[in-house]
Amino acid sequence: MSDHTVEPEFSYDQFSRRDFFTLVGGVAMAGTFGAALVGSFRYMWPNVLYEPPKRYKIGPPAEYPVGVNFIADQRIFLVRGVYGLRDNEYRVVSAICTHMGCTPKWVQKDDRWECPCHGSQFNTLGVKVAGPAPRPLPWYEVTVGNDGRLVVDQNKVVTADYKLSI
Amino acid sequence: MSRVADLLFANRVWKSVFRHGYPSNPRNRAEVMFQNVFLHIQSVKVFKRSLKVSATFGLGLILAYLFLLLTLTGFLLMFYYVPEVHRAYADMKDLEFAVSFGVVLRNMHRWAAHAMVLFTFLHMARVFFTGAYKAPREFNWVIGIILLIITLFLSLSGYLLPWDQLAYWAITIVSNLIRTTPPADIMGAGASYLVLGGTQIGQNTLIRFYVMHVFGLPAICGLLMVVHFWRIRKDGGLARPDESNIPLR
Amino acid sequence: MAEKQIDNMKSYGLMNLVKGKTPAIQKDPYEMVMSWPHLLFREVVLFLIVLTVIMGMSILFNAPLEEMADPKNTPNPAKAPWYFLGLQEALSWGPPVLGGIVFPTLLAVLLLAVPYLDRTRDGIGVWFHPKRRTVNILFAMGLTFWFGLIIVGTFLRGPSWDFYWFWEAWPVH
Repeated sequence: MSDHTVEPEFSYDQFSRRDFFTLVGGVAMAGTFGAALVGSFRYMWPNVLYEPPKRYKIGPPAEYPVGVNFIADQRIFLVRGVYGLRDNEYRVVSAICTHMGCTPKWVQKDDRWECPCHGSQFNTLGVKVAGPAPRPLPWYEVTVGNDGRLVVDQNKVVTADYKLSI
Repeated sequence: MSRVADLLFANRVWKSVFRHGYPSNPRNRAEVMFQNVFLHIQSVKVFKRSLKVSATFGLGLILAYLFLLLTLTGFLLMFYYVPEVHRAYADMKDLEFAVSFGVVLRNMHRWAAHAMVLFTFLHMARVFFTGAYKAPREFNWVIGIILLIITLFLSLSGYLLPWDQLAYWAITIVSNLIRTTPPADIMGAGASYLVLGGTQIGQNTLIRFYVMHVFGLPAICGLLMVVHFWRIRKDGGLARPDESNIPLR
Repeated sequence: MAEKQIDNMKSYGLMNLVKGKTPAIQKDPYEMVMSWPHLLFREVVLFLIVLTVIMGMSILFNAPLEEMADPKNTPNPAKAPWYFLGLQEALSWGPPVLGGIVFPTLLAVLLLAVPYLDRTRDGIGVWFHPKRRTVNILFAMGLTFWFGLIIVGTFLRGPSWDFYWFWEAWPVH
C-alpha cells in the first residue's frame, strides 16, 4: 500500500466482495468453534443416570421400634411413636443435611439431630436450631404398599405434621 | 583416557546430537544454553544476585520439580489404579500391601501434592514481599494466581480417587458448595450435575475426577507453566532493584 | 527487556529528566555470570534436595487412608483437605453462599487484581522494602487470616464442628 492512500471509511457502498467473504469466513469459524464448544458441554451432561430410585420400599411397619430409626441404605430417619406421635404413627425425614450434605446424627439425650460437618442442629420437627444450615430437613411422604411394607417417596415433600397412621 | 573420550565424543553420531564442544569456554557455554530446547528457556547469563539463595529461596523451581515428581509418580500409579467404585479402594490397598514400592510411590505422590499446595502459597508470598508483581510482570502474577487455583483443583480432584471416607465426604462438602452458586436452582444445580455427572457422588463422579486429575488439569497446568516461565524470561528474569528507576510508558 | 529500555533513554540530547543513575561507562553494568555452570549446578542440587526430602518423607510416613467410602456414615468431624479447611471454617459461620462462593471468589478476584491496584514503582526486587510497609502489612494480615482459619479448622474443631482447645480432649462417642 502506498503512503498516500487513505483507507476509506466503512460504508455499505464499498462493502467489497473480499469484505463479504471475510465476514462469511469469520462467522463460519466462530459458528464452528461455538457449536463444538456447546456440543462438548452437552456431551458432558448425562441423559441416563444409574442411580437409586427416589421412590422405594423399606421394611414392614412393625420392624421399626418406637423412637428415631436411622435407615442407612436410603439415608432417612423413620420416626415412630415419639414427639407427638402415637405408637401406630410414622414420619420420615431426610438424613441429608441441607447445608453440605453430611449425615446428621440423632442425639437422643438432647432430642435433636447434629451434623458433624459444620455443626448444624435440627429439632424434632427438622427445623434448624443452630449452625449454618439454610433450610429445615425435608419430610417425605410415607405410605403402606400393597404388600404391607412402607413406601417412601422422596419426590413428595410433606409438612412436618404429616404422619402415617396404621 | 583421551582416546576413550575421543571415541565417545569425537564421532559423527555424538556431534549430530550436540553441535558444540564441551562447555568449558564461554562460547560453548553459551551454545549449550541456546541450542538445547530444554535449557533455552533460560538465559545464557544470569545476574549474580539472582543466584543468591535469599533472592527467591528457589520456591518457583521447587514447584516445577514437585510438578515433575507428581507427573512421574502419577504416571506409575496409573498402572495399578482403576477408577471404578468397587475397585478403587481395593487398588489403594493393593498398592500398599501387594505392589513392590507401591506404598512409597503413593506416599510420594501424596506428600509432593501437599508440598506443592504449600509451596504455591510460599512462592506467592515471596513474589509479593519482593514487589516482583509490578510492571512489566503484572500478567505473570495473574497467571501465577490461576496456577494456584489449578493446583488447588488438581489436589482436590486427586483427593476423591482413593474412594475412602476422607475422600467421599470432602467431595460431598465441595459438591454441595457448588450447588449453592446463585441462582442455585439453575446455576448451582446445573454446575453440580455437570461436576458429579449426576445428582449424587458415584461412578460418574469418580471417572470425571479421574480424567480431570490425570489429563485435563495437568495439561492446562503444564501449558500455563510454560507461559509463566517464558514471561519471566521475556520480562528480564527476576525482579531487580534497579528496575525501580525505569519509568514505564 | 531492561537493556532495550535503557537503550531508548539516550544519553545525548535532553529529552526529559529521569530520576536514575548515570549510564555505566567502561564497566560491566550488570554483574552477570554464565548460566552454565553457575545456574544449572544450583538447579540440579535443588532437584536432588527436593527428591531426597520427598522420598525420605515417603519412606518414613504413610499417607492416610481411611475406611472405604460409606455414604451412610459421616465421620465426625468430617474435614476437607487442610488447604480447604479455612474455607470450611468460613462455611460454618453463615449461609453457604457467603462462606463458600462469595468469600473465595472475592479473595481470588482481589489476588488477581493485586498488580493493577498497586501500580507504584517502589521496592521492586527488594525484600520488605520500607516504602512498601503498608501493602506488606496488609498482605501479611491476609495470609495470617487465611492460615489462621486453616489452623482453627484443622486443630481447634472437633466433633460436630464444636470448638476445642489444643489441650482439650474430644468427647468419645
